Amino acid sequence: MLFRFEQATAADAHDTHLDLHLCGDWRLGDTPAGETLYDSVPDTCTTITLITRELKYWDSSLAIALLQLTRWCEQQQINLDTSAAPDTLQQLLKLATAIPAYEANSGNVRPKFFVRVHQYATAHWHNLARTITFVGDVSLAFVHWIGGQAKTRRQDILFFIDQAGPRALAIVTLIALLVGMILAYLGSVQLRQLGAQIYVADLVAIGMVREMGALMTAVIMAGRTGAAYAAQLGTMQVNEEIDALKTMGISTMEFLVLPRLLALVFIMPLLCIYADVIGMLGGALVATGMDVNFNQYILQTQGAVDWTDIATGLIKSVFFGILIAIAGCQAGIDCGRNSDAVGMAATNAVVRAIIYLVVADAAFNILYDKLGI
Amino acid sequence: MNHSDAFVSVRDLDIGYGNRVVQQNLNFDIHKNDIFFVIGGSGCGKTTLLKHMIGLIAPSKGEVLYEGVNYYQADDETKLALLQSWGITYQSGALFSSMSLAENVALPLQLYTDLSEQQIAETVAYKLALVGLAGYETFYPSELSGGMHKRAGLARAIALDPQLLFFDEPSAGLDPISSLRLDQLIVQICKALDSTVIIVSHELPSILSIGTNCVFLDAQAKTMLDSGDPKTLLHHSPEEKVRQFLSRAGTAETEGQ
Repeated sequence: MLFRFEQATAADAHDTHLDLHLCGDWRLGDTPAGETLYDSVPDTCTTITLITRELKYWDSSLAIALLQLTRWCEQQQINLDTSAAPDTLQQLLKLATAIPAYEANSGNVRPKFFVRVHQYATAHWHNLARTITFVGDVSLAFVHWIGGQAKTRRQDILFFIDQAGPRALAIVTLIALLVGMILAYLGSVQLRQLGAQIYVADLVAIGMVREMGALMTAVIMAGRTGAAYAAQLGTMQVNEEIDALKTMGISTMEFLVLPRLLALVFIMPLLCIYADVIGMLGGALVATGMDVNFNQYILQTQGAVDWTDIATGLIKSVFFGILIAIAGCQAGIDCGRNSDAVGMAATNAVVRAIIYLVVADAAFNILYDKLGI
Repeated sequence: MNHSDAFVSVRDLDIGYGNRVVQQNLNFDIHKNDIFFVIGGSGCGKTTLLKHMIGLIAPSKGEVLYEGVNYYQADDETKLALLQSWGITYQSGALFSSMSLAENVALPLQLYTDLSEQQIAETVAYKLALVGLAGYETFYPSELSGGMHKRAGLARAIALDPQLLFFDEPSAGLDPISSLRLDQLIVQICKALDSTVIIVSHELPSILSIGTNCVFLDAQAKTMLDSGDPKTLLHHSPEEKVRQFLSRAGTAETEGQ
């Protein structure tokens, strides 16, 4: 037993004055819950006196139990006398009750169905409105830059070009090579039945140049660079760096977003051409394994692709670059002010970028089809 | 409790990052129940010293002994035991932003004790009440002010009733009243928990009012100039720089007494 109640005086027939004897070791983990302390107190009790002569060791557990007892005694209007307790214990109790508990608002009531629908819809509408505003702001910053008035530093643009371009070559090489090979395998299965393996070259060339080169590079860059932009700008938001820029009168669009966007716009077509070439090499690797002469493959490829095809892919890649930069930078600028929010921003950046990319790609293909190119 | 024996002793310690030495030849003792201040001008390496003491950076030379145990040479079990006996509050609270205050304080209890959910909830409520944040259990760090962050950080640091409490600039960024309250809170909690406190600070009022021992680091000399009770050092330190620092170059001489 770690505690017991005794009548303060033998003459007290109605148990109005009780002594609470605390004894033994009160260690966190093997102490009774606070309720058990006052469960056995009779209704007639008006005063409880704490006696700690037999108390040997105590830690937070005793303070926790006594705090609950104090609260209960207040409710029952019982007088709790702790003056005989150790000084440090009294101090702790005083400290813990010095500031009244903060009363939280009456819980979070789940709103009604239509209210939730309304909230959901308005939240998405605000999101859309913010994205449109963001695109508008970026466009204005771009116009400023063209006019030579923007506070965009050239070394920033060069830095981001270096980050997005040369440093992404390895992964672009790997993915493009494999995509080229996949296309070649895919085509050869069908074309072999007709004895027309040589047309694998056409399939790979058109596939890479018009579609896969731009799209796969864009997906890589969305994961690699778009997420990095969101994390960079998000961390700057957390560190109040973006506030500092704003109060220095520097437009975040011109100083932070534009260099990243320009770097991607510049580097994406180059990476796209590179991916196209590597993809065709991948196709050639597969085709030469299937009795197609390498020179023949090259000739066939030259005949299959014209400048219009290359242009369609490059135009796409420039737009993809813009979309990735917008998705990444907007997620970063809208980031909340804690470490959790930075992670959310990076996720948002990649998810949004991939949705933008696929939707834009479909739109481009419909457009090209209508225009007959 | 043996007051003659050092609770923490720093021996011939060189601190720094990589090849860059920040302070050399540090030698001082911290006794049980001391409120020990690491003081000195900005950039002299106070926080760096703290990082060496709490196991974040291994020193290039010398050692820090906790009742004779060197953290960096101890085996994993001893290391964990030492870490559990320390409570550390960081400059800006370092609360986990994805967790509510209750979850922040409960984390060490959940990981290192076998208390039931109910007991943990009670302990968390008690620790938050101690630092004056009763009722804030469900709040997230982003919803709190800077001063509340520090107090919540303190609640998390004392979750396991630590023997040794470290504070990095506890009153930086607080108004004088809040800073005074935090000082009092530190003293009371340290007394109640029977712990020893190490504080990195350059707040003169705190140093002179609650400090019982200190070490003065100097950026130019790259070593400690003096150590001892700050109230004694204020008038009797052989180093003029220390006396000047503690009396705010003479102006605070009367306040300090």
